[in-house]
Amino acid sequence: MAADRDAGVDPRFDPVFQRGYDPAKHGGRRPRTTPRHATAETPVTPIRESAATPDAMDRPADTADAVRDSRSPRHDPVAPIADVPQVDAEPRGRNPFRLALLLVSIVSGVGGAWLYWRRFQEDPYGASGYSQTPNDLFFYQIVDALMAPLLTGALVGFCLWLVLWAIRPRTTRGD
Amino acid sequence: MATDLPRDRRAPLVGLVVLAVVLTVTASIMLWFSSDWRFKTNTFYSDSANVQLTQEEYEVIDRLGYTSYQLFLLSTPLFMGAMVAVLALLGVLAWRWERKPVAAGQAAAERATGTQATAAS
Repeated sequence: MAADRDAGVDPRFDPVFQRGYDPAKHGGRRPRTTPRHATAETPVTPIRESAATPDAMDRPADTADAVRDSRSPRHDPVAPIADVPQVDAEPRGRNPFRLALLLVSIVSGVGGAWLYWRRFQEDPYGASGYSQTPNDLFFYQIVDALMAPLLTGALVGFCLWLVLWAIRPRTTRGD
Repeated sequence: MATDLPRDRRAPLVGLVVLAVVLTVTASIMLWFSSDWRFKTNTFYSDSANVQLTQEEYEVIDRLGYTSYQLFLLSTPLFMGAMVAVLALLGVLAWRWERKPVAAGQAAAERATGTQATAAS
């Protein structure tokens, strides 16, 4: 590092890509130690750790290890991951609400189709005749008003059931 | 399941239930008035004694029948909204049910990792 600094190149970067690079003077290309394409987490972590890096480089090896050990254990790259107890993160069996969604869709679809079928079958001259009472008219109209929402709700509910099935979180079983 | 949620996450679900109930009750009330006015209109037109009424009185009855029909038409989207609210409620509950075990498992794994690393240090 000190040699790079004395040779007029920035020691933080590979001399191959810097102005004034001389293979005889600076040697070959350094091995790449960081990923070429940084992930979303890397811009935060290296900045915090880079502040301690110059000090750690100037200290003896055992002091640098002590600095590394004093960091948060969650960022320690040598943590024994294999010893972490396995927690069951799989969803619990069949989703009752998705099942209820499917049942509501089926019931409303069958109900709406049945109401439509009754309306097709009835006498067009006597169903809503002038002799009906207000109660008869109310039930006659509420059936008319419910047919389309029931059928539409059945279609929407079935689509929603399929969407929930499609975006179901992936489990360890891969289903 | 919904009772163990915090209030800010439970409020939208309660809102969906309230919306479904309000829309259903409103549509039913509108249909009741629609049926009542339709009955009155039908009775008026079937009564031959009303042929002597004035043009203004006929217009009032026609307006009543027209309003009755509009109320009937308006009740359909209200029922549709109630149906969608119920489906949305079930969809949200199903989605949260799917997400909850995974989130709980990840949190438990993080807690276990932190506990073990602390014990090791």
